[in-house]
Amino acid sequence: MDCRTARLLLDFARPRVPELAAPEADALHRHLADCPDCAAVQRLERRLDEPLARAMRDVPLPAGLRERLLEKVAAPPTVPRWYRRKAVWSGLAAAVVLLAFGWYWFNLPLTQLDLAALHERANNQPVSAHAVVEQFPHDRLQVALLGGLAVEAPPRFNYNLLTYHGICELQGQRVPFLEFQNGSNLLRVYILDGKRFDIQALAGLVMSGRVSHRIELSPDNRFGWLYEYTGGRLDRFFDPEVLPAI
Amino acid sequence: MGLPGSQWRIQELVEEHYPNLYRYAYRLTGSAADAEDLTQDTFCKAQSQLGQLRQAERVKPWLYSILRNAYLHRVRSRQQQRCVSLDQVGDLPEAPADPLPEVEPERLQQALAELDEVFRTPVILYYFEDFSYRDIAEQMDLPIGTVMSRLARAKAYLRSRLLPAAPALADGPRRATDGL
Repeated sequence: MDCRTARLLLDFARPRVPELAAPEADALHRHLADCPDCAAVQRLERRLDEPLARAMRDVPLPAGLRERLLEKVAAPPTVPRWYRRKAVWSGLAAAVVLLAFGWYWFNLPLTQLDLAALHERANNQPVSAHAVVEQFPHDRLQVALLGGLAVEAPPRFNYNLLTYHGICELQGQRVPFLEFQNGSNLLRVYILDGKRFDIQALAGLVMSGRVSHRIELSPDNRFGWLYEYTGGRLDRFFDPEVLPAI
Repeated sequence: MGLPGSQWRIQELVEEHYPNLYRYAYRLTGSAADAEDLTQDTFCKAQSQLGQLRQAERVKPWLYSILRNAYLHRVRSRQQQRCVSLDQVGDLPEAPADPLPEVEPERLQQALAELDEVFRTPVILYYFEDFSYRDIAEQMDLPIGTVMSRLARAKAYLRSRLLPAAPALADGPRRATDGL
């Protein structure tokens, strides 16, 4: 072993924390026995370290520290005061945001459905012009009733004629729809939520054409059913067991 | 009725480790009050995370690591401390005459306070003589070579501040980074 290696290994040969493997430790020991310079460096290092190490560990322990620590860990964990304050303020802030959001939600202006524009467009385009977001085969009606949106389906239609139901976009809003087919005639029923659309303003409105439109309110006035249909007659989509009222 | 397992364990840890953890905290902070707070925080945190300790033999470095992190968290939330530059520290003191005088712990604390934390932590752990270079490197998440380099410079600084100079060794003074 040369002196350079020996002096590097000296750092790893502290008496209380030996880090050298046995062969290296033996080689270092032999080198120190034969090399007075390296042995002197080792002695010097230890002599310089000893008073510093003693002073480093010379920290008096405060009276009662052990008891205070044991008492602290024995007590149930407490939430620091600053954290409690922070939690209270965070809770208040969240409540204010929720209230503001709720107020905004309940006072959200209702969408005014522009039925004239819708009617005009429908008569210049295919009946299915509104972008369909989701569409399901009708046999899934019971399990996937219209994408989680609140729905009340009109009762008097012949649901054997139902071909699809789904979600489409109507004047920027996601709206559930049912689509019926009877021969070459199509009927689409848009189910308008009274919390989002001003359905009262349109109740009973009828617009005829190649594609006709008619609006009817549900019995509890919570929904408006906007019928968009071809062939000029809505009753061809009714359930024969139910007497038509329109 | 006996204590629940984790409660028994944390009390055992306090009994075994609080003196050295407090001393480590004191040397890091230089304040008895801060050291006690840090020690207390360390055990409280250890209590809440005891389930995460997988290797029982690693408990000591784990506790020291918690304490150091808590200390760093406090330091960062306070104003930056002024520290000396160790760039000028190069030569180790030469061999002093016997006997070496004792180092006053207060003077040592002053000198430690002048060191940046990245130098102070390894030198404290080194002189506690409880941690190997590998342990210190793991504590600080640093390569072992970096720890050795920092340690050499910090030791040289403390020796130059606290120990008297003396006649040279036969091969002359050593650089703090000799052999690195």
